[in-house]
Parts: sequence; structure tokens; C-alpha cells
Amino acid sequence: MLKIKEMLFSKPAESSDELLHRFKEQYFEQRDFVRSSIYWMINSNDIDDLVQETFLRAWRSFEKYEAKSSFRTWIYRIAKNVTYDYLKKNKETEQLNESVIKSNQDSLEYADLIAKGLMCLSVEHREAFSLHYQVGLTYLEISKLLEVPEGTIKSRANSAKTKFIKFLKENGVTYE
Amino acid sequence: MNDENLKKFLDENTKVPRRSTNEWPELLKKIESEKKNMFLKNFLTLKNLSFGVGSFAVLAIVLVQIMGTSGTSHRVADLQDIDAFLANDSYFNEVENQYSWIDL
Repeated sequence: MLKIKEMLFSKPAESSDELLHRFKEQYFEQRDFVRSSIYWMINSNDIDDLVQETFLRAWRSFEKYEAKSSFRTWIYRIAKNVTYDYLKKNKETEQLNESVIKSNQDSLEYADLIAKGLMCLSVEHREAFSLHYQVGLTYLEISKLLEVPEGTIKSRANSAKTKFIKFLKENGVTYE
Repeated sequence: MNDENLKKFLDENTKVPRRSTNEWPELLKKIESEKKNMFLKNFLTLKNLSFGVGSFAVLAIVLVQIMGTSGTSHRVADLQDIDAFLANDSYFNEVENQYSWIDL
């Protein structure tokens, strides 16, 4: 089914209405994935604008989209660029926040701890970790999405998991 | 913490914020607005281009006309000079002095 859709996609659109119709179909198919991907990368509730920006950028280039990669892969790259621009703009650091680990803020909710723990990971590790443990993709799916060898994805995800669990334990979380 | 427990922990304690029900209508509005802006931008570009091409054409025509007119004036002036020379009596007068020794 996906291959048939991709074959249909590779035909040039006949009119802007048809183009918009096809774009709308893809929007409804991928909107949850895009939303999750962006959320887990930045851990902010303020993601509506970023999701909209992702689809707007996708629309602007949609006529040129030639189905060489799957639409999910294509739009994920756009979402990633939007996210990176956001992170750069907000000057998010990738270094460990020492004060968070050493703080005695017992009242921190798990959600806050998870968010902080994820932000302690490098962007690449956070990406692999989030796509596997939160979005629910397999290592093979992530590998195809990012066009990175599966072994590299496994290594990043495991390394991120180790660091993340260590962070949780140091902050009193011992979920078994 | 094994993988399944970790996934469960993450799932139970974090949730992706709910999407607004207006997400697609708002996106569509922006798309339509961009389409209109693009149309206007293309129209203005075409209009400016036409204006530029038209102006250039007028300038070219004017230049050609000026060049053509100045050439014509030159020829007319030359013809007038020749005409004046031929009509001038002094030619015959000079010849008369030069050949006055000939007894006709």
C-alpha cells in the first residue's frame, strides 16, 4: 500500500487543489508522529507553533517532493530543522546541568525530572532515545528515518538510556 | 530498569500536549494566505518586468530615431552645400579671369 502511494506521489500534481488534497492526506497521517518527535526533542508544551511551522515548510517544498524517501522521513527532516532552529534560538545547552543533579528538590515531579534528564543528553542521543522509547519506533525504523546505520542508533539509544537512568537514580527515582 | 519498564515509566509520567482541534483549519488558512501572497508577488514581478522591458523598448526606439535623424541632417547639409557651390556665380567669374587671355 505504501509503495503504491509512493508511486502515485511521484506523478506531478495536475492542479494546486490536487496538490493540497494530497498534502492534507499526508498531514493527517503524520501529524501525531511530527508532534511527538518535536515534543520529545524540546520537552516544552509550546510546540503548536513548531508543528505548524514544520507543515508550512513542508507545504512550500511539497511540489518538489519526489518520493525518493518516504514522506515520514522527509517531514521528519523538516521537523528536525525546525527543532534545531528553536533550540539555537533559545540557546539550549547540551551540557549537564550540575545544579539539577545536586539539588534537593524532592518536590520535583517525575515529568519535570524526565524533561531535565532528557535535556542532559546530547541532541543525537536524545533523538535516538526519544524515537525508540517514547515515539515507539524500532531501531531499524529509526535507522531508515535518519539514514544512519542501525548499529549506530542502538549504540546511541543505549548510551542515552544509561545516562538517563543514572540521572533518575541520582534524583531519587528507582522505578523497577 | 529494563526497556519495557522504562517505556512504561515514560508513558505514565509524560504526555505529549493535546493537539488543538483547529490545527488543520489554521494551517490551511496560512497556506491559502501564502498562495495569495505568492500570486501577488508573481503578478508584481511580471508587471515590473513588463514595465522594464517596455521602457527599454521605448528607449531603443528613441535612440534609433535620434541616430537616424542626425544622419539624415548630415546628408541634407551636404546636398545643400553642393547645391550652393553649383549655383554660385563665382566659379564662372574665376574662370573668366583665368582664361581672359583667350580671344574668343
